[in-house]
Amino acid sequence: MRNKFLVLFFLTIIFAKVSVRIESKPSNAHVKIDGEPFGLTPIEEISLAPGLHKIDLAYEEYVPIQYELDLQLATSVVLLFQLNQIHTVTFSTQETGLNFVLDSKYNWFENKIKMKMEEGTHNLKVLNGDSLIEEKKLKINEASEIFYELPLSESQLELSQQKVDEALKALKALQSVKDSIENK
Amino acid sequence: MMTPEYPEPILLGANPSVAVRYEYGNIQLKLQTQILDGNPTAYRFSIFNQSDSISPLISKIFFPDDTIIVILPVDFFQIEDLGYVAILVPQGDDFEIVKNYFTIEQTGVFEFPTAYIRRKPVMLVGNVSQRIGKIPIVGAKVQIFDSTGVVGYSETNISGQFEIELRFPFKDRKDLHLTIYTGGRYSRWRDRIDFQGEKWLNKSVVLGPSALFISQGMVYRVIQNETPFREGPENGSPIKFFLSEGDIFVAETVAGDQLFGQIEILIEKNGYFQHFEGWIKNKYLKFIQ
Repeated sequence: MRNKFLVLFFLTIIFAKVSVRIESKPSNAHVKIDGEPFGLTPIEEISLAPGLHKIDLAYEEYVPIQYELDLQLATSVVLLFQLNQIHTVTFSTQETGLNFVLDSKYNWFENKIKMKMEEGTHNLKVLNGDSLIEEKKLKINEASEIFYELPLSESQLELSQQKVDEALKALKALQSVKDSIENK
Repeated sequence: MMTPEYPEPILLGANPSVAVRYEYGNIQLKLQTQILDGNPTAYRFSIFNQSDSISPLISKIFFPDDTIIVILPVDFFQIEDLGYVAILVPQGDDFEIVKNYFTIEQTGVFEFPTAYIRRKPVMLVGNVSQRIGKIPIVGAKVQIFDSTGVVGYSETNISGQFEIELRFPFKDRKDLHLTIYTGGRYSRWRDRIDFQGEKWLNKSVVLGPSALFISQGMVYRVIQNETPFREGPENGSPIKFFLSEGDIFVAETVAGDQLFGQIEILIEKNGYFQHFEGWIKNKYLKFIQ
């Protein structure tokens, strides 16, 4: 009798199904489940057995997703994937002899380069040889051009400040001339 | 001049952003009862994991008029578990426990087969053997009866053993008898049995004459029930008692168609044999040795 119930139990494992709905932002992403194509999102009412499933989403100009789902026994489950867009970014600089490293992984030496970048905040490191010159965040949310300049040195900053002060002074003088003319 | 392109996309390598929303339905476990015997005062209904028969996952008391129903969320049950067992324990007497093994396939109503409520059976076990040599007697018909007739029946197996289960509450009955019939090989054996409130009774029975008795002369078997056993050889002599088919008669003297000898009766109460002398007509006997 116990054996009978065990057989029934294993049949249950085989035949128990959960209704699965797959959505994505944006929609119309190509979906594969366990390597089998299932069409475009949103996908309604697929019946899947509880357990592990591999779900792949692909959409042009977006980062593909590979997701491992440990499906639990339930009436239904809704999966909403957020796809991240890839933007074309042109990076250029007039500096020379620098090494640029993005996200500690991607690096180049060129003065001008075109890249496909996932939207979000990336980490840029600028090196001269082995010495780190600058580290900064790059927020990418659209196709853009990034022009890189080395940060100013202290003496350059001081000089710049003097020029600004002089310009303000000149502006102030002009303003007083203008005021006296208007009063007359 | 063409701007060079980085050979691969620059990805953040973060985990995919996904929201997973499960919707769980309910599972209703239902059980109907049908009382065959007794009056339970309540029912305890429990669910156990098959791998843990000590700690119930849930246990509820229901009164006899209640509908036995338990509503549980589907995630109460785990698909990895080796199934479950629902146990119904009627309260108030020594009732049989009802078990149902099950697994959950889907949400909704899960109805178990009707649970038949009855008190636990009593068991009579024993064996039947020949008095001489303690040889098992195979195929002896063993019956329990009361004033209404036979209430339990079995036959001895190759080891002379028998087992009778009485489905109804006989443990307190005083009117039960046990008979053992060997098809005329030995006289029909009969005795009262009393479980004395217990659920188990063991009865060992030995049949046939003692070795000492059959060594005293020629051995015959009575072949007919109600055979007269008389005080003298003449017709009309008083009858001491009637013999049954299978009784053993040891003859000392033959006088025409009449034989004089002894029969042996075991006084079970005292545990010894008593011998009675008398006369039997030859036509009621079959010579054995």
